[in-house]
Amino acid sequence: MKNIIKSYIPLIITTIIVFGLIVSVHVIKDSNLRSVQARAAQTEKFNKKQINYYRQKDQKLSKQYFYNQITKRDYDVVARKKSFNERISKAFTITFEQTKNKNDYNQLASKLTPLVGSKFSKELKSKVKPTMQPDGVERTPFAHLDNLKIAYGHLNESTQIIPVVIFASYSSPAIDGTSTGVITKGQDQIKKSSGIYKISYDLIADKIVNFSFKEGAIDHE
Amino acid sequence: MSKKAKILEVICCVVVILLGFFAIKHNIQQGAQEVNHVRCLEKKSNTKLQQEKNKYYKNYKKYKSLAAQKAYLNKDQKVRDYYKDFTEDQLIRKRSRQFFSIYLSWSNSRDYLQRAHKLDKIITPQLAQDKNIFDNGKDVTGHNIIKNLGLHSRLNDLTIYSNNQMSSNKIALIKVVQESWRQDENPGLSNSFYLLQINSDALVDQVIRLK
Repeated sequence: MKNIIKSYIPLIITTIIVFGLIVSVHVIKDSNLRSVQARAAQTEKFNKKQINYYRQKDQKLSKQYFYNQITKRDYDVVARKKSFNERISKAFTITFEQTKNKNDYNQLASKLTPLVGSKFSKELKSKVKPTMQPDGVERTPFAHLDNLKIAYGHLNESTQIIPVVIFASYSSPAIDGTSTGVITKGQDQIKKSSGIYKISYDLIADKIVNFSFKEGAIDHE
Repeated sequence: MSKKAKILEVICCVVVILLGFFAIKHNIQQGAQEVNHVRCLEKKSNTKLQQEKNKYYKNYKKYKSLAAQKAYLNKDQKVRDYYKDFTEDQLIRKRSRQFFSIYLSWSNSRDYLQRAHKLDKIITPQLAQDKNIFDNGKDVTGHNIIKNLGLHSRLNDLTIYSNNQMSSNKIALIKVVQESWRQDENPGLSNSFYLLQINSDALVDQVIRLK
């Protein structure tokens, strides 16, 4: 009996290895399928909820619904946007053109807060912190607001919050002298910078509720 | 063990290996089919959600536009101002969509060079001749990049922010998602902001790309 088993060892080992491989592949396939199924079930559950959400919202839509939203407002959307444009323009001008030294910088928050609120004024203030410049004078990095554009997205009728995008570009003052002692004046000494601010503006409360900033580069002007 | 038995054993081993190979192959194919089936269902579900979203936003725009038109007849000045503001914004949005659907869509260098011509009804002649905006698709050495690389592009998505109050020029800041690819490659997405300036006739006056 022992001899018979001994003589078939290669066949037995081959069978065990092959069987093992089949089982392993099957287990891996099953586990992969289960994870894909679980994710699909999660997606399906989420999508069903979302579909119901949009269907319910869609049923509420009508010409009258929007007309009521427009006429029942006790504030003037156009006037609010106009006033917001002016306040933003003023805040950026004060920040990037009128803040020249440490004294101006220290007074900045009190000038900006009534225009754009304390949080956004902190954001603007952080862009013009005075530092020691190459010519040995401590001053703010920018002297000119070169471009400022403010644009509005779609007004959310239920929250009355409107997304706003602000593009601003600014440049440093021209520096007459360089560290090499060579006196030059021109484009080379002007540092340019730009950024895009994304803001959520609450039209009812007339204040900025959220914002983000992304530094940008200009391709063509 | 006799020679015959040895041969028989080798044959048995080969048969076991072959059976195992086919069993594993079948298992893998079946697994792939099942995964594909589940993914298909998932895709179907996502498409259904997207269709529902599109339907909602289409109706949202339709009814809001109808309501704004009705606001034109309202006695309240602020309501009538809203109508004017809304209508001007709609025009800026329409022009922006028209501009980018052509400006960022080409499948060969001929298309690329014809973009200014295709847009001539909505852009000023100065802009059409601006080589920074409508370049010839060649690099500094004179090689035709569009043709040599088989470069394709199309507009994937755009979010429009507009303002008609800042000056005589209306402006739009537009977040654009561009889909571009080389021949035989999968499309890749890139995001950028564009600034469009639109004059009183709603003609695109100036285009600035903000990376």
